[in-house]
Amino acid sequence: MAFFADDILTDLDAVFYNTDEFAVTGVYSDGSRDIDISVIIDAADIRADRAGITAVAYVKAADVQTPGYRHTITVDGVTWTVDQEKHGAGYRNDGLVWQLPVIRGQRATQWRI
Amino acid sequence: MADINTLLDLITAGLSSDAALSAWATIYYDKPHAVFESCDPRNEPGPDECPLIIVTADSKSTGQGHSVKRHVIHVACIVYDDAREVTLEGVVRFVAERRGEEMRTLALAAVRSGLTDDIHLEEVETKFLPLDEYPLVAVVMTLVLSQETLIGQNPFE
Repeated sequence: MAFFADDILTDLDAVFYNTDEFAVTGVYSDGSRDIDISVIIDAADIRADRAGITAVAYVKAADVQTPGYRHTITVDGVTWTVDQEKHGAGYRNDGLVWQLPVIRGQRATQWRI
Repeated sequence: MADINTLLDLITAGLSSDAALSAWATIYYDKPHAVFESCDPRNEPGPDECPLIIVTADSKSTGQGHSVKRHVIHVACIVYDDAREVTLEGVVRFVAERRGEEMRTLALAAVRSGLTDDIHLEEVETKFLPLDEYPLVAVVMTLVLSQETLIGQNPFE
């Protein structure tokens, strides 16, 4: 008997991480090695704060077992840096997908006083 | 008699060529410091340009009613640093603010050594900005430089 969870596993690759559907190809780097991945960078979560651009990157746990602060995700030549986890809670993982806070394009604005 | 552009020349040249600043930057960040005179607010520097000093003119006060001319210049020392350490006393120290202060101290010494004798560094006000854009941390000095207006010299510049 098939359960919904089994269907989700199938849909994860066939739909959500299908690069013709929601995902894009990218490279995840932990500083010592590069991994080709499919990733979803949620455009709805892109916002400019901390004098940079922040977003949430959804990365399959099967591709990246242990994400870390300052790791990078490069998509089409644009590099996002995995930001610090909030309040020591650890990066969120529902068992299938990591929800990683990422940031790029930080700029120093404090000189304007 | 120094006008604002002359002061900017003196200050930026002194900061850029300062050996102590360069050595400090190399020790902690493996590269020499960068010095900007003003900045493009549409395309501000990022982590790759740090450690960085940005020098900007703020204001000047001159005129026939002034026996002393005053120029106000900002010197912003910016580091990109998220390192932390634990001291012998068990204090968890996020070092960026400390590094910014070290840089500021060296920058002030470089500014002072580059000024001519007739330019007085009347006041130095320092602001610490460690949080809003962490790990980009800034320590910003506001320098008030004064110079007597001598008879026969242009009182407006």
